[in-house]
Amino acid sequence: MPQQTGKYTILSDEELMFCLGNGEVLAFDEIYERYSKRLLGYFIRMLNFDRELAEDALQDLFLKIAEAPEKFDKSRSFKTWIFSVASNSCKNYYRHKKIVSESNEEIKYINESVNDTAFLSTASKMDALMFRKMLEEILNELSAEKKEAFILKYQEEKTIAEIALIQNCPEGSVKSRLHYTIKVLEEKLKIFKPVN
Amino acid sequence: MENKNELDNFLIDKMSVEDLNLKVPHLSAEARKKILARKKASRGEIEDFFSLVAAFLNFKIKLYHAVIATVVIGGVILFFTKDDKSNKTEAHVSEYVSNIASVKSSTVLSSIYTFGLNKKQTYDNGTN
Repeated sequence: MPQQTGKYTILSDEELMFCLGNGEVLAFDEIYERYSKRLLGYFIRMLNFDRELAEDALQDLFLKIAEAPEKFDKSRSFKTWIFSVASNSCKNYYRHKKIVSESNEEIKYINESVNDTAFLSTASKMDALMFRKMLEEILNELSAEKKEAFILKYQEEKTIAEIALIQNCPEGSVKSRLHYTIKVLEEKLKIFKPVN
Repeated sequence: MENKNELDNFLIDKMSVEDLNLKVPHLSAEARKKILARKKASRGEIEDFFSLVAAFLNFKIKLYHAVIATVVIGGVILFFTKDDKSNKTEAHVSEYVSNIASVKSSTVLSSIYTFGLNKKQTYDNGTN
């Protein structure tokens, strides 16, 4: 397990990156400690729950950071920057492995609103495990951009503006990607809705 | 609005990383090596003679180092050669000047003149 020292735990991510530039391994350990689990979760969900591939992607990402920490754009927040790098890694994986075919169905639910109350009442009655399984299936069917927007919003709790920065797209695109995914979820939930 | 927040919170709960039961792999040794390789030998770190020698041996000569060194050495050689030449000329001139001065100040010339005058006087006296 990586060694931990008090000195590094109190430093900000940006300060740790500066220490990393000077070859301080413990600063790298601290960054790894802070982000490895979240990034592994991100990669697992992005790469269709292929754990081995996700672990490889995680190692590749941290190796890139170790090789060239100076690539960190100091004008940006580290949290946003690291997920941008992860996002680019995923794009490369998608390109090489052809993991999922791109779908262009964003316009499908564009004018339909989500019935939050009905969604919540049905979803909360569902078995937690079953809901998660359904969520995984839906995520696997989504295009990379929609899936990523959803993961960043609900796993990483990022704002629309942050997601737009990571995905390098307008905020409106992020909103429509999220809206589409929730509509797909809502449609699937209708199966479980008791008929009145 | 309240329902929207509830829905968000519900999905955040369902998307929690903790539920994935993740086991994070250890950081690769390769990554650690790469970081250690970045460790720069700053001035403050060269504390003793041996680390100074090690830092010197670790110095990698690049092409521009060789070019700069050649230009500097060439310039120095040229400067000293030129300086030496001008020193030699100055030495020759000062030697010549001192020779002339010594000849001028020499008593030999004046004694020759006095000797000639005495001879002439003796001759004049003899003929008279």
